[in-house]
Amino acid sequence: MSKVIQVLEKMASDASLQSEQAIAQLLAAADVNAEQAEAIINKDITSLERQLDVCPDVVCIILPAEDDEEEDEDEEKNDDNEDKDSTEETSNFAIGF
Amino acid sequence: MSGSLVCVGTGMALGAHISPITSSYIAQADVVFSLMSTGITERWVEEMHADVRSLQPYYQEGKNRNVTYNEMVEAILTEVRAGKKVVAAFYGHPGVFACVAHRAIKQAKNENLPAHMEPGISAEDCLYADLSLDPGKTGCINYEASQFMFYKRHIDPAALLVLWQVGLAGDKSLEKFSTGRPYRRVLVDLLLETYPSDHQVILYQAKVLPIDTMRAEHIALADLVDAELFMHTTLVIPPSKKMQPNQMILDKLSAIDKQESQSKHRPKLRLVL
Repeated sequence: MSKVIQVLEKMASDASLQSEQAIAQLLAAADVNAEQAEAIINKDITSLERQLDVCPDVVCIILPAEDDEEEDEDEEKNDDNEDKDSTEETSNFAIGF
Repeated sequence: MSGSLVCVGTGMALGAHISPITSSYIAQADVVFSLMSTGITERWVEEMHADVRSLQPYYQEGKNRNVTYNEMVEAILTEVRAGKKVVAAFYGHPGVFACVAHRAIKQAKNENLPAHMEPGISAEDCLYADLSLDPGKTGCINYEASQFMFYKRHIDPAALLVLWQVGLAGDKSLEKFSTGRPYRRVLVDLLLETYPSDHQVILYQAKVLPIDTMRAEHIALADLVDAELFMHTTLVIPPSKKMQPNQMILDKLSAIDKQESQSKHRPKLRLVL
């Protein structure tokens, strides 16, 4: 694991590292470069993302689970009514997660 | 040998929330798929295992997210069918306001492949801690913001209301990563049917990195239209009214209490032979 990620993980999981002084001491002892240490002290996430070369534009949408039983029932209903216009119901599935 | 699937949650905060069993499943997997909320947390998971595959590339603005989710499920299931021990790691809780893990597990089970879910600390868990709110105090109802708009709902102004993904509120196309002012106006108008326009609401964003700052911005409901919202912003609406006693039910319960009390104090009868 890279040193910067190790430092972030330690900061997040060690109760004794919840003060600025403790974090400064951790960074002094850790094998991270001055620019990385500065980004962590200044809480500059954009700079850290750039230095780690990670994508800053991450999508965090995972819409709610759909009601599987309702979906199955609707699918069965559609099967039973194949001759009928089912366009509207199909488009509703897209809304219903 | 049969493949298997475990969908795990890494929690919201990098390094702070991951459970021992989730770490162990990731370490022992053949393949790990990941869907994280930031580039740095994605890197963190990548460094836990030699074969971590991000599900991010499946997202595309303008592409229906249902297609995206099904493609993600198919990518995961392809490896399970190939006989591999597969772990799909999601930020937060893999099964809360998230459909990919549920769909993947359902599909695996349909194909008689072993699959289960391990919980994680969700954004909702963080919300209660960060905002000092207890959902048990008044009751709490959670809706995905768009679903809340598309369907007729009964709002209880005496309970806490939490609307998730409010930055995308009203997106019927499932193709957008954000919706603008006109969509938000519709949401605010809907809420104004129940709450006063100056009712204080909270824009909440959980802390993900240890150098992050949690957002708990208090604004008037009417100001939501022009507020800065992101994909991960949650709208928290505290109760605007006090809980009203249900006198009819209270009277019924009181009558039962009285009846029980009377039967307790009845003289005990002894059977004499």
